[in-house]
Amino acid sequence: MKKNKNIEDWFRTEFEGYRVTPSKSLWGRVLRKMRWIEFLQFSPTHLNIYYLAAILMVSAGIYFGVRMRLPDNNPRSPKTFLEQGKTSPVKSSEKNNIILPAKNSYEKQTEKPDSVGDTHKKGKENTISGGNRPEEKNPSDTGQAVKETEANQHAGDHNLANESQSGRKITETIGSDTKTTELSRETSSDEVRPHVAFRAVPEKGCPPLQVRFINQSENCERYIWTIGNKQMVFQNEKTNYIFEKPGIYIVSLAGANRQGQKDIFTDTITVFEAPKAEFEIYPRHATVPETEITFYNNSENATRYLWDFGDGHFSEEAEPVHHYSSEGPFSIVLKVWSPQGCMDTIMVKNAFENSMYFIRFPNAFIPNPNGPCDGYFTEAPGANEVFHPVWKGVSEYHLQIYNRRGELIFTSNELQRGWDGYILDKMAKADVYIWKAKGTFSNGKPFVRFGNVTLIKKKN
Amino acid sequence: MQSDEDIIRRCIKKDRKAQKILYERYADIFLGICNRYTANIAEAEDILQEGFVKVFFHLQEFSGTGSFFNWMRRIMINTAITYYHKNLKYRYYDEIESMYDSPHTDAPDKYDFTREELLMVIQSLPSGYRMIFNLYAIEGYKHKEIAEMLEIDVNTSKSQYSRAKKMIRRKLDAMSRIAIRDNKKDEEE
Repeated sequence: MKKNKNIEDWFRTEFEGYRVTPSKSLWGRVLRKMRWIEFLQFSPTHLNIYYLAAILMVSAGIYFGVRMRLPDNNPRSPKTFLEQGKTSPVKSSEKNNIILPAKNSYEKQTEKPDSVGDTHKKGKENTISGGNRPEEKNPSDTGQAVKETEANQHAGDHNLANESQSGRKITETIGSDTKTTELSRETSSDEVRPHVAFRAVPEKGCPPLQVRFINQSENCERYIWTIGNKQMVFQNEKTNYIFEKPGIYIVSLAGANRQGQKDIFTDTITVFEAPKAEFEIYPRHATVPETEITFYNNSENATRYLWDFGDGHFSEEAEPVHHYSSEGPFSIVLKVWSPQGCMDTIMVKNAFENSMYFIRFPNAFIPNPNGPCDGYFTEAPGANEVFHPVWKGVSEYHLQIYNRRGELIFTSNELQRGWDGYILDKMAKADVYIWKAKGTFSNGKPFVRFGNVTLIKKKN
Repeated sequence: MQSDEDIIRRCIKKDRKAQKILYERYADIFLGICNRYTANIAEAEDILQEGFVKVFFHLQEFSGTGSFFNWMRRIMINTAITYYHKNLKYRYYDEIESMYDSPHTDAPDKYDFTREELLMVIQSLPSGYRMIFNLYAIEGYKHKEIAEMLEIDVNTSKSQYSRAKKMIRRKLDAMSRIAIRDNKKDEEE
């Protein structure tokens, strides 16, 4: 029996040399964890993540190095060109009977004609692969480009126009693959110098700015757009691009014909600085219609303002002061404009608490040291000898004050009678007292408030 | 049987066989310790795993002067503390009951508890109580040391310990009452 033994000794002796056999897999887990940590740590002796990264980088370097040196006429180019030739009549001449097989091949090629990303990816391959600019673009670069069905339809027309200009016959394209390839090679030598041009609509505006780029180039086969420092390939003649951030962007379009003759066209897009609407309200608790509400304007980069106070009144001042004549809730809207005319809006719902009725209590008071006054007070400014609320529209009222020990020391049912800080003609000690007030407002709404109040003694 | 020194030397050279020997030699005793610091065996095994990985990676820092067992034990306990901090939800466990002084019950030493029952009591404690009780009562650390380890105030450590003890006593008391009742039942039958 373990009589007269304290818990500490008891547990200590019980667990002396206490052993639990671990599950069999635990050593495997320890090993795995150790291998993983060793893999993440650098050490010259064993394979770790740094070696792996180095190997990957070197192999990637070799891979791209080899690709860069490949000649322009790699075996892919004629084939892709051919595919392009096939697709063009599909879109342009829908009445033609040949479209059916061709359309199939087009769908196969693009896989998902509805998906913007996919189509762009394919488009990129088509236009770039035979080019003299072999660097591959990240597909995400084209992510912002917005494809429109309209533009897509035009693409076919344009292709058709382009190709007939270069003296090729579409029927032949469909007829025999090899023939077309040869034909295109021959005719391409007659092509005139490329002329690259595009139009941007609009050229300036507020962010986010959607700009429509319309490619008006002639005699070109491949295009590369450079927007800011991003290079991308748009499949369509008309493409929308969204500029999110303010700034001046240089947009250039480089085009090349089949011989690799290049032309470039540059334009600038200006995206204005956007304003930012922001405001504060003072006070946050207001009694209507007495309180004036001040609106502090914290907007940035704005020169014009329009306030909607939510009660049918408006103001164009920067920092207006407003009187509300009725109870809320009010939603306040501030619209601001930058010098360039860009706009921002902010709306704050239930912007501040307001009511026709209220009751509020102070958190400290200084009793009159000369003696009790039965709790009747004057409204003189600065008077704080009696603890009492300020109120409006209170019909019923009951106040209780407790000391720290929870003893009820004062009650009052009259709004005009507060606590003078005396208990049975003796001033209560300087301390924190807890109060609770119950009652109803004139509109019948009940209220309960509680809090604490500090009794401060005046130094004589 | 190789001496610990030999094995340590081989372990520092990342000899897997030596590491396994070290693991097999000490795993069960340390799992016994970890088990006291957690609510269940799965958590204890997690801590043991972490602890052994730490031991193997910091073996070269072992000075060789003190006891190797104590050095490893300290690592295990620190791992348990880290685990506790990571999973900390209630820093100060305050049972409302414990705010009032419950009438003093007799120490529940009228009944003999098995180690499993005691372990169950420890594992059922709130994690903060469990840490402090283990460190103070079983491991024998001072409140000052515990306060540093757990990053709490010395007085917190003391008060949490006394509450933990009270709770253990109450649990043991309840268990003994159940046991007595069961015994009576058995006798009646």
